[in-house]
Amino acid sequence: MLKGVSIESIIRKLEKERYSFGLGLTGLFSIITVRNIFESAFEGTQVFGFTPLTENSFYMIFSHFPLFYISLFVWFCLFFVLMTGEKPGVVAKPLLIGLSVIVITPFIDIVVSRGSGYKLTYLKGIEEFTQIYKFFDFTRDLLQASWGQRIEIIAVLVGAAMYVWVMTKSAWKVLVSPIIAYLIIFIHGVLPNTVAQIPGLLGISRLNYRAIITAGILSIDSQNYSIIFICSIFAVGWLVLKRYDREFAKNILAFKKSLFLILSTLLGIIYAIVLIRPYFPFIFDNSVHYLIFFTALMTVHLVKMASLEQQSSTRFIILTISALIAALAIGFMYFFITLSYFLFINYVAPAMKKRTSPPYLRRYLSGAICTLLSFIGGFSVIFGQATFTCIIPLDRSKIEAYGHRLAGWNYFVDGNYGEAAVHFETSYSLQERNEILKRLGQSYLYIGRSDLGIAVLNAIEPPDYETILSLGQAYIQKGRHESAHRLYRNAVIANIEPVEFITLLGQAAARRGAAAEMDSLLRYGEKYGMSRSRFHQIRGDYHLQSSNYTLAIAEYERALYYDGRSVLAHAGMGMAHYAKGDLVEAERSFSQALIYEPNNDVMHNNLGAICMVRREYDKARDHFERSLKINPLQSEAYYNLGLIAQASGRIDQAIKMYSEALKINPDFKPASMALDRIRMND
Amino acid sequence: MIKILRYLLYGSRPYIAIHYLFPTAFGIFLGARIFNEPIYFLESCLILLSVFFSFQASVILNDINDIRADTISRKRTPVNDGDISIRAYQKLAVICLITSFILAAGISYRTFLIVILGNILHFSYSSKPFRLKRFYPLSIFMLALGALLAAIAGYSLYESSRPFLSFPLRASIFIVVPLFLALNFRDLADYEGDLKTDTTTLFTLIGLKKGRTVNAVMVLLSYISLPIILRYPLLFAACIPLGMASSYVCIQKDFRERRIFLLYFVLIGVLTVLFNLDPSIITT
Repeated sequence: MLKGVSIESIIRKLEKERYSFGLGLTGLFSIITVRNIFESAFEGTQVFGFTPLTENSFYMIFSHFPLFYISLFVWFCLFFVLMTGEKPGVVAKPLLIGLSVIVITPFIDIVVSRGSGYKLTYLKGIEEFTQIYKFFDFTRDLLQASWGQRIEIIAVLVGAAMYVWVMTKSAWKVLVSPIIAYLIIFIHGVLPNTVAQIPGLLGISRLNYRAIITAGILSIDSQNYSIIFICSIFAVGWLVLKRYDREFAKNILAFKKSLFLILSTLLGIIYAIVLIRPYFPFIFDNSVHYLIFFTALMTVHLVKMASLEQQSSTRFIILTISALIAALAIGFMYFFITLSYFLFINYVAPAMKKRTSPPYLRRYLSGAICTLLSFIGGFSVIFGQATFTCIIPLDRSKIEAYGHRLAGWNYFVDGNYGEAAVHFETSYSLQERNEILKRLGQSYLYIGRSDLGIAVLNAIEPPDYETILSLGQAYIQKGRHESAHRLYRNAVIANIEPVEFITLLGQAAARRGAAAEMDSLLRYGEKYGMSRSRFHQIRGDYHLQSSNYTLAIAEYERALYYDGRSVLAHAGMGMAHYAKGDLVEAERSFSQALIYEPNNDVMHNNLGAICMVRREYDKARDHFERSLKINPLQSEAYYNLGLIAQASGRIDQAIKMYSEALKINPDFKPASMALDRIRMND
Repeated sequence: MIKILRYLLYGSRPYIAIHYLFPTAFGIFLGARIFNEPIYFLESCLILLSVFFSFQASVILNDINDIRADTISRKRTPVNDGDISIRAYQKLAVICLITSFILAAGISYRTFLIVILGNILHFSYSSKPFRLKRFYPLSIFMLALGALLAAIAGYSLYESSRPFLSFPLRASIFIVVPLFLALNFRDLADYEGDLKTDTTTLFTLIGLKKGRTVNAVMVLLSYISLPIILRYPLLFAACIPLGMASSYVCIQKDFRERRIFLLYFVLIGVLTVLFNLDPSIITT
């Protein structure tokens, strides 16, 4: 330690720093944005961020994640205020600097994971409270807990304890602080899913908790999370504000001042509900929907209050930022309408005041515009981007199309693809849009109508990343490898997530045994930042298909060195051991893969195959059935169920299973040969 | 109006504004060579302008935050000279910032994110609550990182899906290490102001006299590091004389930042010729 420099002196120095509220807020947003961008660039790149679902990425980087951290910030602020008895303005400054620790997480993870990154998730539900220990189990390398996250959380707990010690010198408070700090983080991890599960607990089960309003534009978790965190910020932020500026906190609750606007927003929401209910009946089924309506009403109130607090820059900033981030949490359309309302009430209306006469006219004109904007805003909470086409119901088909699209999307995220397909069909028949067609095609694929799914997805012009991926997988499952490769090559040429499709092409070349093509694709992929783990896994696949199992295992080991959580490398390793006859090692590898991807249909299928070899037919059937439940398009699983049925003497069942396998993939030779054998025996 | 345009184009540090365009151009060149694509003229112009305006915004932010220190150091900036009010200068910063964002968003969403990162980096460097320029050597490291981000922004025209992961490691070292060694000279002119505003720099830490010598050695080392990083010994022929000349400029009592930059521009010229003659030096 440097002479004269102690933790206490640093904290005191930080407390004495003088800067405006706006700068502090910009600092907070800066930390959060840096964390989010690097997290999306380094971690879990298959999920969001720099690849490939950029529309979700925008919402995650600029709404969902910032609100998560802002909510954490205000909770910690309140916690420190209560613990130390200091003013929020005092504790917020060291807290802001302390929160910078979140920036280092992605960098730690990218180094520790040797470049592969983690798919970061925090605890998902309240039921996982008893599994908190897993988070701190340093002997495990789980998807849910990266090293960066562990270091980040431990730094927060230690930092909280140190701060409380410096400020209070109270031993019991120091002991309690890390526990409360962890509970705050835990609550933020589990709150969204817990709130969303309330309807299920109340017996409302038409859809599970994943139902949302937006029509498939934004990722479902993102909106749920954003809304719950903004409500948390409103509630806890107000308590903090009460300590910071009691009069201001009291003023904020003066709903009378914006009563008219709140009512017109509410009217807009009710009007939208009346229009949409015949086609989208789930409005009242989801607890998050109520929070969305509450947030919309609060937003319009906050904008109004901001216009009344223009003399104080701090109050104006607090109200404006709160309103705008809340509006963004509801959706893009609501954000833009709120922004228009904000600009009007703060800048246009005052200008009108000077120029329009007589005075009563300007008052009514300005009031009418505000009321109209808040009504449209309320309507847009449900209708989103379809607001302006549906608000005047001249053409009912547009409302119907949007309603079915919402219902389809809610069924889709709920996993009920049959119902989703019905609603998307109706929606598309009324309004031809690529987004609907994409979901319709995917729904067909999920319910096993693969030819129709392929035809629908093929009709999308130009295809986007998701369409190409779904279509390619469908082609491969149908055995139409050449079509899949053509599709992927076109994606690379069109610069649509090239590294993803180069990897798939390389993998296909490896599995075909085309060494030269594979090498060239791997070299090409390296330029695009293909991960080392994928590089070695693909080489492993090549050796596996060449029956060179020792070399394959060596390559898979290298792949696992770079990414110990690679499901493909574990699976390949399992296949190589299986081919060598080492069923114990094969089972271990497949089971390992299932830890990281519990819903992997292929791994269940492979484990089922091992059980079959061991003549454990019940266990095998269980695995195959689970595999088919996850992915009904698996000819191999049907074929294996046919084998089990045949082994048990249930020939009719076996014929049915083989036929199912051939329905999915008519070129699947083992199934056709098995059927031929049965027929010959007959 | 002409004055405002002048500040918009040059700010208070015209040479550094130009300096930031080199890494961006380098990133564009690297992307084009690695992916065997032609130079995308329109997008390249947009990204160069975006980086330029982003840097101008950061210069203004820095000038506003350093008013006290610059007054002590008798450093000439538009606000210190009274040519422009703080309010107007702030507005100019906002215009630059928005322009840089619009230009970046016009290229791609991911380029936009990289430009946002660059702006956050400069904000954290100059402004409270962080004002990282107070902490040496973190301050210099951040400036080097800023140059790397500018290069990645250029590179992202060609590889936007994973630019941070696919940007060649050697190219990153080629940007960060020499700049980290060389950029101390920026603090030489601000010595008195830094001393009185608790800003640690190489010179406030070890004293002006020793600092000058150490800085000169570091500048020489930065030039010498280039052929080593690139594994191209022939480059010593240019780097050693240029490095020695720069070191000589640094130890002179009458220190002129402009001379350092002129020598640096000569180096950029040499590197441009070299990379065009043999791109494999940097792309492999």
